[in-house]
Amino acid sequence: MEVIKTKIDLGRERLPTGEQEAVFEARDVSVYYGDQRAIDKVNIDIYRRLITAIIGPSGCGKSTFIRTLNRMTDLVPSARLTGELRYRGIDLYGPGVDAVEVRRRIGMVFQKPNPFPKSIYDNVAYGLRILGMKKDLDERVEKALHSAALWDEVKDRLKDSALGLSGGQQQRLCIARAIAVEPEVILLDEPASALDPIATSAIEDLMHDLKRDYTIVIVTHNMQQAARVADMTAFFGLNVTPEGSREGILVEYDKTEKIFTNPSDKRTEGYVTGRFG
Amino acid sequence: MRELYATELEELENLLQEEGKLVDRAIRGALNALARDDLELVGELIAFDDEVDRRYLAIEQGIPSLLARQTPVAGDLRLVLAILYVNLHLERIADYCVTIAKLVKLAQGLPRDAGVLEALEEMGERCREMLSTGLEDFHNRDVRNPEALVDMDKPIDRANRKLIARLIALGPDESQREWAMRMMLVSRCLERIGDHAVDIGEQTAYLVRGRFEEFTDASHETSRPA
Repeated sequence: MEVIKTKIDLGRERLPTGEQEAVFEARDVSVYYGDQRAIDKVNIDIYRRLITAIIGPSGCGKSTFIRTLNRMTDLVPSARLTGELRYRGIDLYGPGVDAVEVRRRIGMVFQKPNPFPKSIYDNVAYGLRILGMKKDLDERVEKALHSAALWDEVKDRLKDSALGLSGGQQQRLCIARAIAVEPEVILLDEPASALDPIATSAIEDLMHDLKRDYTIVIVTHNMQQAARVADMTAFFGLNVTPEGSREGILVEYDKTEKIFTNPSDKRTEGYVTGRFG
Repeated sequence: MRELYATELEELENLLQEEGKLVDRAIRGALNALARDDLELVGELIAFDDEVDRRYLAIEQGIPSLLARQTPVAGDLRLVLAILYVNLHLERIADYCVTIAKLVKLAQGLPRDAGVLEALEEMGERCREMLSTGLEDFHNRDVRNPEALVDMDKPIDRANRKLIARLIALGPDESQREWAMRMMLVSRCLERIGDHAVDIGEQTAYLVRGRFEEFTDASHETSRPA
């Protein structure tokens, strides 16, 4: 079993052994939709309190992979996972693991901002109420909005509908909603692809601030965004099987700087430079 | 495929090779001016430097534009950075040729020594060889023998040192001493041209291997990457 592991020294969050602490450890993780294999044998360690970007062409399984990290794939009836995916040493797909609890600890924000048709306040408070985290609700909501760099813009209109916010504000509200329940990991699936450049910079700045407290995994089509925000970058490529079906594979995983200055694999080089083949 | 981008990158590299050919002509011109004590050629050489500078500037301006618009990464980024540095080395070599031309002018009419001139000619030809090897390897991304340039540079350094002893021995006459001083500077210019050619080899190694290492260091003459 080949694990793409890399000696990284980013000067923080290291284990006594000098290695970075892995939050997720994927071992031969494959995902099938029915008979169709979407990703094949992914081996990767994702490190604590770093931003890890997943890049790759359309259909390479990057969204599928990020969704396995908080068991969102469970919501697709035909989806099936093989291999082992450990989160802080626990088999995420093992018996007795509560998918709802997994999703509380590992939050996700999607491409299109999807606030509930409720007030700004209620959007953030929603998950807290459901999970019974009702103590100090106001403080928790304020803290989450602060963390999502949205507080100053909304503090005087918390009771207004969230749908009245701009796209960029809605996306930061979704991030506030995700972090209100105090997750450990935030998964971002193309969080800025529907936003203008200014709103995009706000999200990127926010990610940078959030990594002090959270482990962040981001799927992005925008390679420059990966280059700007990520500490580690995983490149997923497309493999065409002898039978002609296409499946995603992890081609290369390394420090972002390495991926964008001197990638080891020709396929990565071809993709990041925009010259295939 | 990003065709426009690929074309622009190729054009920059072509411009660099073109500049390299002009610089080789400048070295040849400087050596001829020296050998023939040719003042007319000195004037031509000084004017010819504008041709080199035009390519130099076109590359110098083309690179920020390409960086801003195309954001090259990986091998492309290394190519752009290597072109930026090699461009600078070529421009410096051309400047040394102008300096040699000016020294020829200053040495006009002074008593000359055939042996010294022969040694300088020899050094100059070795410089040309190094430059063409450096540019060819860059073009071919050839790092089979990246330190060949270091080996080629050694006889130039040796010749430079030997020449000093020879020049001191030329004689006590003031005009002889003046000529000797001028020629010492010519020798120094050629020695520096050799060093710049070695640096072009370092850029080729960086381009291909993805990490920069100095082949030699003035303060640690024997240092070499393992």
